[in-house]
Amino acid sequence: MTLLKQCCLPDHLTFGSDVRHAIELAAICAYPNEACGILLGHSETGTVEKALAMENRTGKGISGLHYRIDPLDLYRQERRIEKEGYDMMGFFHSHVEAETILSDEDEGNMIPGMIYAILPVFHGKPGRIQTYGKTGTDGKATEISIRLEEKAKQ
Amino acid sequence: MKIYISATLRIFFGRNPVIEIPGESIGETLNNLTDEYPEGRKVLFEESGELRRFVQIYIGDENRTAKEYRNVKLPAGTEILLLPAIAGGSPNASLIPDDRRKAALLDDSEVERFGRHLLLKDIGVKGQKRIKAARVVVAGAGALGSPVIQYLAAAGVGTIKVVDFDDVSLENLQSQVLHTTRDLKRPKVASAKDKVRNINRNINLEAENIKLEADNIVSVIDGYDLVVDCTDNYKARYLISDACVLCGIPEVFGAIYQFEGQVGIFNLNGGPCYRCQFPEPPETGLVPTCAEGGAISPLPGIIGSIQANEALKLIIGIGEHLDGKLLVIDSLYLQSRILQVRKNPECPVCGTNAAITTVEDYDYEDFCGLKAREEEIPIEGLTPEELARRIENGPPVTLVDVREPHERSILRFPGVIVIPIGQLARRKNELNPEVDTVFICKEGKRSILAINTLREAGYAGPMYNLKGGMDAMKDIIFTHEGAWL
Ligand SMILES: [Zn+2]
Repeated sequence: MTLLKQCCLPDHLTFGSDVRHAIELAAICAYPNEACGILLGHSETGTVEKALAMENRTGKGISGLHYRIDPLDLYRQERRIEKEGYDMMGFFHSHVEAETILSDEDEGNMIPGMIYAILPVFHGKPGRIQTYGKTGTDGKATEISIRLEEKAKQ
Repeated sequence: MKIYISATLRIFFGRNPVIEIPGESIGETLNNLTDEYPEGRKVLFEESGELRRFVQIYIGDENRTAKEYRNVKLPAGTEILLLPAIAGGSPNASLIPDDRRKAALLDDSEVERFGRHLLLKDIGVKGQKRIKAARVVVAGAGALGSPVIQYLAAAGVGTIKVVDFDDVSLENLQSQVLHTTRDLKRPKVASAKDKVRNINRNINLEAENIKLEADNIVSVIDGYDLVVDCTDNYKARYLISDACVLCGIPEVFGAIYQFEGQVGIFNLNGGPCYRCQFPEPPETGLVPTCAEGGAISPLPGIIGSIQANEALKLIIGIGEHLDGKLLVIDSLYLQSRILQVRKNPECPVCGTNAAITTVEDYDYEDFCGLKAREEEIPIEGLTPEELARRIENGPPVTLVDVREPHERSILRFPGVIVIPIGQLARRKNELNPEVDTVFICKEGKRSILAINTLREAGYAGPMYNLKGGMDAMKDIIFTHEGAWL
């Protein structure tokens, strides 16, 4: 595998409290289909501050097992995000009735340097988010540990 | 050219959102861009020089990723978008849910029996329990069914339902290795039951001695995890596929003809169905069914074994399988290829606006051309007995054998004119319209097509079909021939 020197992944990530809720909400709403979306934040500090759900553009019938974000949808979102001052950190998607391990399809489509969060949903109930990333062009992705900020009690 | 780069790829291009790069086509511009940013080249291209799977190129709203656009000259100042395709999916899931897997227990003798499975990392105890918990329908206990039933039983599939309406005949023994001479004239499902009992008494083999029809198929397959289609005719294939879509059950399809075979998986998690790949059956008679056309002995062994292997992979949830693909094997020249099967959004069963919502209301006989169409003049037929009397007592008839040469060489009909279907229209002048003409094929179906073909070609003489074809004629003795046909 070719390691890319410009590409670095944070050792740890911090997910803001709203981020987890937003991902869980997207996954429950999409169930029994897969939810997908983008993660925004600040790369230097490794904090993810926002999760934006995107439309799963997979064809009818197979969205329970696959997700696809339309490249043009993504590009339009990116332009809006920049104005808000966030960095594009990566993506999230849910796995329906399946564990949080990467599928070959997940791994083959990974962009080095981006983070990929997966939330498993079993019978409509969200499980634990896990995050992966790649620093080279080929080969296996590595898991990145995350710290979930809990919502302050009000 | 101006290249707009997605935020997801920018770190490899000096963090620039837009880069001006000289070039006259997409290919040239990308080349110049990646000359300037060598890290970017590694990210966009495989070592072979192909674009990586996730790279998408757009001009305006149009996707221009495909190779054919790479060297097309573009007007100066075209804006190119360099974007990622973000896609993925769940890991291969087993057809058998965890609760059923956990409920299946292996005793000591099973641990010994399936030891060679348990040793495999990808199967192990969990996989073997899934196999034991599985409930599989095998439609057809003939050529393909023979290896499928025996391997599924040997592998330990807990419940196997075998559906077939036929009895074992001598000509079956050439390729249907499930049956032996002892089983002649017995129902195929009875013979299957005996064989499976000899392999493993613990397997629950459900034998259904019925013909699959629109009014029974749903009750036959409902509640099972998987259907393996080992039938040999189009009507059954459409019926099985449609019912699988409507019941939400995946199907492992297999077919053989002469030296060639096909295997595919349809309707897995809403994937493409048999109709997506084959929207219509070939015109009746043009392609003889396997029963009519024949196949070399080991071919069903090869194809059926692959079907059984695919079935087990789906049950265990391992490997890459033929979901949305069709494996085509040519055993004569030892070549194989895998065709992609696309889901047809207009598919009448699994498409967006599916018109077929129940199998009962759909006319499979008509769809597969097994019924005389109403607007057509009905075709008169002769039974083998009637034909035999007519030949012996007159008045004279013309007999036309429309079978292929290899079929005729097996069983000849005396005193016939031989005209294969493809030549009928051209050679109609060889027939005398003053004399009754009887058309003969193997099963009495292609001969109907022959009559219709001649009618369309303007032949006006009286034509009759030999009902049931040569197969039905076998037991008739002609006294003047003094021999069995
Ligand atoms: Zn379909």
